[in-house]
Amino acid sequence: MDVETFRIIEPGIYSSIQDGGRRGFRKYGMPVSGAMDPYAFNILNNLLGNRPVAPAIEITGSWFSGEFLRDCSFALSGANPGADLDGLPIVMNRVFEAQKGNVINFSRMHGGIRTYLGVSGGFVKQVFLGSMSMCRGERIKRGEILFSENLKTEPNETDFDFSYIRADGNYTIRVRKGPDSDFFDERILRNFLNDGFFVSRYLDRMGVRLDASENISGGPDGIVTKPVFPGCIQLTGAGMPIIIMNDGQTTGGYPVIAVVEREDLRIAGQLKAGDTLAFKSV
Amino acid sequence: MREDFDYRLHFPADNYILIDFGNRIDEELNKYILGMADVLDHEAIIEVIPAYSSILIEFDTGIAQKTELCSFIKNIKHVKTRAEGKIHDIPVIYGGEQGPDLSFVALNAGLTEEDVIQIHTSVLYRVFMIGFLPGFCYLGGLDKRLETKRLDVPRMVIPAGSVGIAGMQTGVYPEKSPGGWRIIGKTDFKFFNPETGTIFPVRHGDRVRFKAVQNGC
Repeated sequence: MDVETFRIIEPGIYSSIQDGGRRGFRKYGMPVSGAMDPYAFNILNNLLGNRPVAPAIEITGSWFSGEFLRDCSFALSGANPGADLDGLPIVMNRVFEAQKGNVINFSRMHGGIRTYLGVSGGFVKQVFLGSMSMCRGERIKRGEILFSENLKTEPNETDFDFSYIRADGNYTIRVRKGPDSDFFDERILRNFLNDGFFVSRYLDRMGVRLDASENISGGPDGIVTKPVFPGCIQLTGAGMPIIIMNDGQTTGGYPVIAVVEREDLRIAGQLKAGDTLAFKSV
Repeated sequence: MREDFDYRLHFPADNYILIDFGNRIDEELNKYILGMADVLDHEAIIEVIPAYSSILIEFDTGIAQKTELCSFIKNIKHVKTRAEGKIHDIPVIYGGEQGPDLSFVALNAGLTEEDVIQIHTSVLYRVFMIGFLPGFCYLGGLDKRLETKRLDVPRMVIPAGSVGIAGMQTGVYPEKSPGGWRIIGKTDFKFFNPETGTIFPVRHGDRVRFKAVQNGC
């Protein structure tokens, strides 16, 4: 049975419930959705003793607070937002027991942009096409009451390493050739791998746009639209790389110059405006 | 028995395979692709996404390795093309507030607005693929006379149900979206209908016919 568990006081820039994603409907244009930092999401559920894809709150940025409506165990994973529970600091990736009425507050990001808040049993939302992930701009609203499964779970000891989230905002992402790499000339391919890029402010769950660069402009045009997936890096004619993310379109007409290595998608999910990014070929 | 089409296999990620039939739009090839998608049935395959001239496969690396899936794909021979699907009649209010670019499309083609409507409604369009937005159908068959380039500056909001033309394509925005297509009309037909049991009423290989109506659909 589902029980009232958490009330959103301040949802911040963008908060949503995410699980492992929605499969089987991309052929109809339905994005896959799911946690943008799959590593943090996985560690969180592991720590709490939940099933691996139990839904959690994905919180963007450090402007967030909420109140527990019942006693339950919870944990935070992903980017460290300097959180406290009624004034007591919350250590990341550790299971805490919250009591009814406790308030959780975020203060300041220490690198990265997405934090996951999970409770034992996992939050619940209405299932749509096999997944509870909110998508296409749906967001948790101020004052919203979230339910969770009334399930007592045993916390787990888990090893983790969050050194991929960088306080200095300098990132390197490993990529491999994209299906359209052959359409690009040497100059663009070389500059794409040698130059550094700035993450633009146009980033959300659909995609991460990097600042355009002349050094990689003038690429091929007229690629027949084909499927894309999270991690595909499209390059526009004006030289703007766009990393397709979880809520992104399922097909695209811009050529895909490279694809983010699966393990490094977690980095792409933590990028924020102004970070620097270099690509490294594997 | 017809010949199989040639393709290349790409491995854009550890858990994805792209079957690439080349950079082209061809009805016979697309029918073949839909037929092939129907038989891509393997316990490791999570999702199959057919497009104009390619098929993307996501698979579970815990169940099968890339090499096993490659031989599974290569052993698919003598693919039966998928049979023609349903025909959907789409009522459209052309022009006016609902189709602000109808006059431009007419002017651009050197035709009257009535001609544009007559030509646009006279074709049985085929659904080559679905993507971009949930339920957005890439339709083939637009009459060459109606080809119109996109807006130079895309509109911030195009209402759900808007019928548009972009280059050699025509289609319907299933939901509100920014976009650069020339909007010639609007329909109440829902290509994406989350409130009903038939969330995606139009499928690959189906055909779509537009019908001019005066008001209310």
